[in-house]
Amino acid sequence: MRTFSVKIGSRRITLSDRMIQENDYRKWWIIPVVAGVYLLPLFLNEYSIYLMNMLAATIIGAVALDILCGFCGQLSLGHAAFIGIGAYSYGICHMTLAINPIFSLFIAGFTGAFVSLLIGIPSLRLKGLYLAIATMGFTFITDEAVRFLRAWTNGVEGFKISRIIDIGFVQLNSGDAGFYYFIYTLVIVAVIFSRLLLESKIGRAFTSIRDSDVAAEVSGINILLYKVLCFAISSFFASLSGALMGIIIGMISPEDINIMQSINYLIMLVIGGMGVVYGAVIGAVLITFLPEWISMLSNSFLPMTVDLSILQYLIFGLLILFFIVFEPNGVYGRWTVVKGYFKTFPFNERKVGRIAWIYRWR
Amino acid sequence: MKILQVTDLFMSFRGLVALNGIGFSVEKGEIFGLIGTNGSGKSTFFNCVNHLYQPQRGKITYKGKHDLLSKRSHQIAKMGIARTFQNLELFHYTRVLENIMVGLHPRLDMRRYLRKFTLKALMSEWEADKNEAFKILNFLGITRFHSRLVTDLPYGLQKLIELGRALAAQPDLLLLDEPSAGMNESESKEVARLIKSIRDDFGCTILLVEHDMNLVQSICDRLCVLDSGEIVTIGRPDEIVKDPKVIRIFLGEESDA
Repeated sequence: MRTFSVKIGSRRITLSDRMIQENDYRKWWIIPVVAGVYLLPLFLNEYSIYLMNMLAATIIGAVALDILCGFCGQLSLGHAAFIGIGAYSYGICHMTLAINPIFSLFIAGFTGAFVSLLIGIPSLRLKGLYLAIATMGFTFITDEAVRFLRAWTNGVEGFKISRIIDIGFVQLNSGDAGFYYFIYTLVIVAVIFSRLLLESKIGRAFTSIRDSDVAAEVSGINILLYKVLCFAISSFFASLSGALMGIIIGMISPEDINIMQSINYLIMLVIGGMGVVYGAVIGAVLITFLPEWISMLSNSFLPMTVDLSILQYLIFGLLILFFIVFEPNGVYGRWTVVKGYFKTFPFNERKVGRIAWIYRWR
Repeated sequence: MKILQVTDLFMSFRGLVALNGIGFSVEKGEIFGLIGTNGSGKSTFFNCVNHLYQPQRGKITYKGKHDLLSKRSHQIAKMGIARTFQNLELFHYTRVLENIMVGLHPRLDMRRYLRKFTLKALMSEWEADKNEAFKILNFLGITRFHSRLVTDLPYGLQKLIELGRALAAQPDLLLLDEPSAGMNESESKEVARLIKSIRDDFGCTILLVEHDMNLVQSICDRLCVLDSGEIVTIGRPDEIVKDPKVIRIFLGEESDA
């Protein structure tokens, strides 16, 4: 490390290379965000709380897909299948077998992780689009399996899941603010977990497999082990999210396990920013609230005869096109650019451009 | 002591013979150069050592006891063989420091973290891991680039970062695939100095593939000349450059007319 010192008045300050661009890991902005999240239900009506709870489950699902697609680069269209597996296994554990709901949530997660081993190991030889096709097949298989196992899953009629969960000292109804606090605690745990995962040895192994698997392998990373591990971690959170979604809606049916659901999660990653945890969160927020915003806008500006669903698809499509063409790194990618601009504020190239602009006007 | 012993290595790609029964041995602590024209099997040999390719015949023995062709690539890396690539294989969308820390992968023990109970102890462990990577960056003199994205950096620096990733594993045997490719004369002199100091400071044996004869002559202890998958000659650099067979391969047939 090279050091150099600066003399200011009588004080001598020593700087090193390392200090110049070191990332600051103490993110103080987290505190107001967490406080805001916990204070929010005080100002919301029942429908908004329901929506926020759905958002929480979606965030966990998006973060789960981000671990698989963003960190490890394994393009998967089987996400809806894991969400469905989570919801069904929670339902079977809690409703049919009458297991404690907290245990049932964990069992749902581990069921997803276990099933992901069955699909993950054969998928290891596949890359990119081929893996996407294989996992898409897995979605169809899960859909059919749910219909086939009618004795357990109640077939096409759908499986009713209790909206009340009992966490030992208090009973939570999934429409209430109490459940809101519970589910957002899980969201914060999931986000912090995936942030730490990304900074750890395991997360580095994932990102190196994404960028160059040959180099990862000759650097001593066991690709087989880490790909399977990535599938397992991702599916654990996906199934957890599915179970929570089942609790919130109170119902799961085979129609929920469809390919559009998987694609929806991929869209969240593209819009929010793939490979970054916050990107997944931003994408989930945007995609969950977009239909609401669209209907709000159309109620105030458009006549009632306009078909809302068509308008929604149109705006969705335009938004995806916009992001793919202009900012493939998503909202978070654009934010890092803006942040970099302000961080190096007096010494950036734009400033030079601006000076030239001022000269022209003189 | 022989760190790498190659016997009768044969590899062909659907009839195209890339390595035709080569065999030599590399002593511990030397810089061993592999030279040859394009397509003479130098990089194929490296890929065989890493077991990225499966040769049809032959044996590569490491440190006298490990048979490399029965191990998987990541196990070979854990035994202390690191390498760089001719065409860069970096992790482009991560930062320089993280690239180096991937090289640390076999040396880091995650269980160490489980024995720490306070946040401060955990953070200091994490800092210790980062400091290992910073040591490598300092050695290469690229500390100031540590939080830049690799894609933003020029080619020469990317080469250094790849070298740093290989060094971070503290290898016993370092395979360098054309370290001075695409560099000008002063840069390749710098590379030559660096390679020598790697051998001296890290105490590793270096196996080198290179086109630049000047670089090879100035740093290598022994050279092996390959031509279309066969060994032409092995010897000291000053003997090699006088060898008429080698001159014929590199400069073409002397015409008497």
